[in-house]
Amino acid sequence: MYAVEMNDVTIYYGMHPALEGISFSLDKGSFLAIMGPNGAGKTTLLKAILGMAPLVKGHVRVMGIDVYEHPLRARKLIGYVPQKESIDATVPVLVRDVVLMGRFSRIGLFRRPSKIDERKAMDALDMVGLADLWDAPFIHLSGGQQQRVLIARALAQEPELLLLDEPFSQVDYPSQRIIAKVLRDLREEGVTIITVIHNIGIMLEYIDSVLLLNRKVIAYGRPEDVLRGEVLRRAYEKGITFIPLRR
Amino acid sequence: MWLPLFLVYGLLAALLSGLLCSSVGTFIVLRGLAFMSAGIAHAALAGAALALLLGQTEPWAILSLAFLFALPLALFAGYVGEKGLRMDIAIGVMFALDMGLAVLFIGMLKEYTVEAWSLIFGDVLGVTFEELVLMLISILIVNSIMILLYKEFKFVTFDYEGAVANGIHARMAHYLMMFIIALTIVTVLKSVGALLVFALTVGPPFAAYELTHNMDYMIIASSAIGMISGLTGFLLALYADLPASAVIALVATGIASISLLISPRRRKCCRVLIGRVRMLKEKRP
Repeated sequence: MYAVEMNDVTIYYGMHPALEGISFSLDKGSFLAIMGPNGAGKTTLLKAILGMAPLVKGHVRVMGIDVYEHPLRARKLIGYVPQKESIDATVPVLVRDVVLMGRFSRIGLFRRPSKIDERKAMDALDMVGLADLWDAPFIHLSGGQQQRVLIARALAQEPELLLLDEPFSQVDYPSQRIIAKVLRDLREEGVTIITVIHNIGIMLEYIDSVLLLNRKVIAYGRPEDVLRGEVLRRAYEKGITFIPLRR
Repeated sequence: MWLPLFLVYGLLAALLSGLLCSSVGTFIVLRGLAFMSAGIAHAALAGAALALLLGQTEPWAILSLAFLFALPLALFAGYVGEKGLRMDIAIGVMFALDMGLAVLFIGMLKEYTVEAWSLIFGDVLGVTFEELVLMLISILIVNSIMILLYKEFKFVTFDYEGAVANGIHARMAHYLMMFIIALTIVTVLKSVGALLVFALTVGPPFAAYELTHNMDYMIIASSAIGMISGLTGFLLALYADLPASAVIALVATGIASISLLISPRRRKCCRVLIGRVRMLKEKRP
């Protein structure tokens, strides 16, 4: 059984195709980086894995569950870290509120977080190095800290599959290093990770495979096979300079 | 000393309207639905006016028809918001339609015009025992939903997409939120009025937002400010012989203005302002 299996997936927003004929499978416990130019459908691909993008054709399975047929069951297994910009940071919530949200699908309806949920949330916050900010207002945090809290929220869910949408964007260098370390530790624990990433350098030594996307799968394979000038040029077209890859 | 019964009903209606509007108003403000609450109030007005036109003056009949008009707008706005489309334009169109219907129905009224006007501007002293009971039932329904689904409401308010991705019942929470907003506004139509309901759904939550960074405290503070606005406004209006809903609205917006000035969120601005004033004073000979 694969962690993620996509079969001929086509997604349309209105009359516009966002993804066409996407097929790939990902082994459990592996680390996949999704790359591609702006508008290539990278975020849409993550949303398709969550069963949240309008599917026109194809099948998406996560841990063997068809996400479009059983979305709630599948989503409980998936931790999702959205782009920080999609969050309304002006909503008055504390850091602990945000991290505890990761536990909500496990807690279920009409019930409040227990001591165990609070402990798991605290552990998740500790993993990203922000345990001392448990009671701080979310809005008081820097961009990098907010990103780490959102990662802690996904970790509190104890996911089997972790999806991250540009976790390093607009994040300072210390936060980037901490996020990279957390992802490395998770991979060692056997969590399957898929991240949309632009600057792959920081994660290169931990990544098992790269999926190069531009509405279609341009290339999918080991980083050394995909991150080559002639392959990248097919996704990014022109106007890009490549520095030779060294792992 | 015994108070006349209409005063007791009025006082309770003012208090309960303040509580209901301002607790639900927290989500209206945080989710940017202020315009929607105005739209719902006018849709409810159209429904209530139709009830009067049909000769139905029973409180439950007015409330039912008002709700029948208000709910579709709330759900439609919720649908538009869920799809990430421009909610203001969708509500604007519905607002115009409902306001047109309301004016049409009121214009066609041969009798009950006083009742119709009380729905526009509010008539807290005219609240009857039956209306008070309906208000209490609404509070029970609205608060039960808010308490039972509080954690889901908090999540969808902070990050709707994240809530859907998390696998919680985000859509259900989203639409139930629209449902309680519609029910709240319809319930207070008689006591506060379609035009002034806006002040109670937005004023106290805004005041509370300025005072805290914690949503739990914000709801408590907003409810307290809403009740204080209702009570103070009612007593002031009674004392000065002024329209109660207008004074309640003025008190609510007055408290919001004061909280803006003393807000911990704005202290930095205040400090800058105070610093500038001091600099100017020091420069003077």
